Amino acid sequence: MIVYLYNMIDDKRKLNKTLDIQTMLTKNFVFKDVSNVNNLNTYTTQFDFHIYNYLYIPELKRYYFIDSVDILNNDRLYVQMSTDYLMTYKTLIDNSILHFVKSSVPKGDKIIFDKKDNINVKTYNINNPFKNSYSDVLITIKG
Amino acid sequence: MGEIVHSFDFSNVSGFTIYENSNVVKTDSDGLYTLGFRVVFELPNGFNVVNTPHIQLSFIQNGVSRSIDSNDSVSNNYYICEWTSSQYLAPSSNFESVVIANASIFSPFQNDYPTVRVQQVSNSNINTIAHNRFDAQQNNADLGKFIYSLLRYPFKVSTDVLADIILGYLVLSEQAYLIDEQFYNFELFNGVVNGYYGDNRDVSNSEIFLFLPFYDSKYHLDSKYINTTIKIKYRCDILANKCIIQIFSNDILIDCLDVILGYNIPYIFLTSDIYVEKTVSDTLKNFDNPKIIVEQNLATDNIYNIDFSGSISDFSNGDFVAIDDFSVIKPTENNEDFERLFDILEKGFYI
Repeated sequence: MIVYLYNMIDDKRKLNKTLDIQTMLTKNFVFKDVSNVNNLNTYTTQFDFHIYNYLYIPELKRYYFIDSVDILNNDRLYVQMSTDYLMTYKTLIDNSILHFVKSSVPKGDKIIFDKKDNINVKTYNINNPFKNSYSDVLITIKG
Repeated sequence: MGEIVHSFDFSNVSGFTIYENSNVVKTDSDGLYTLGFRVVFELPNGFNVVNTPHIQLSFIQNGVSRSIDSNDSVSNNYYICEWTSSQYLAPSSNFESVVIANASIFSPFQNDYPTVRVQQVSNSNINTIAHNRFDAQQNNADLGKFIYSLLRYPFKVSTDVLADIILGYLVLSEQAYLIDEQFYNFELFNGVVNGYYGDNRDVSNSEIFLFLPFYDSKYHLDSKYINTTIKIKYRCDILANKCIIQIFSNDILIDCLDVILGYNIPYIFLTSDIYVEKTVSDTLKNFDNPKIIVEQNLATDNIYNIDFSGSISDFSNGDFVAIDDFSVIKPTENNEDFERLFDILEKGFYI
């Protein structure tokens, strides 16, 4: 199975991830078990998995985060991967009319936004010792 | 009795008069004087100079700036400044400044400050003082010059023993309690001011406001102090009528603010209307409910609630968005995929 390995630097929550094809590495790799495509775990002797953190498998049409790589005895690696659902379903998301409920500064003036709902206010009372008593203080100069 | 030796700038000297022998010859400086005059100062702040200091006087004479120095000798344009500490005279506005250097002075409080009395007074005391002032005024004596201040502080002072009220040379047949503490300390708050998350995420999106008694406006505490123990102390000097608010974070002093707690009681002042206005405005600064308010935008990157249907292309690269209606995204073959995808879309993602 062909895999494209990348070094991905974007936030995991970013829809349009930047994948640098200059540094991309193409490998032919055999996954022994792809029954759970959401989370792929595999043993390998290919140390490239240790260097990269992201991959695309064209045959599955899925993008994966390389979550962890454990170096084992006998020069083997144990690699755990999880699906990047945003990139995997990016085309579907891009082509849909969606209902947005939160956004940062919106584009144009067609979006009605309300910041107040997001403000959390917490109040701490301060002791006021100056409320219930007083003293009249006279300072005089002696001759 | 504590003797303090230091240089002292009396640029705000409240008044002095020029004498020849025992007669007042001038209460302004517009004139040319010959030698032999005495310049007698009215001392502000209750200080009393007990030895002969070096005196320098700056003033405008016939439109020309001049300077008098007690060490200067014979000249038609200079005056010998003979120091007396026992006379208190009317203000003159023509002199610009007086510098008294190397004087030995006594600080004005209790045993350390023998030239003043600091007493807690009642309405009865004030009435008696007013009568004595009136009586003295019939003989052209103004006992009001011996009243340094009459202030109302919004707390109980610590009193000692009854003692006579003394105005200059006059011992009144009236007693009031001597006050035995100059400084009064109050702790108004001591506790952790938490943000919503209780961790570093709170620093970037929170604002902390302090509403403090007698402080003119709300104080904006830097959000880096969120989730720390905030301590607020008031330290009041009743002699100087100065109060410092100390703000601590985790026992480290991070800021000091000046406030005035005492306000003039208008009763004995001639220009009482001015003091009434000031007194009222100062009193209003004492809030019923001082507080600390933490305002926090829970969505860290200026995230707004919106109500908008459209496509991703309506937003910019890097915008953070969240979606709540997934009916348009039809699950195809993998329902588990869509459950996870919808969870991400609902919590929000960057474009």
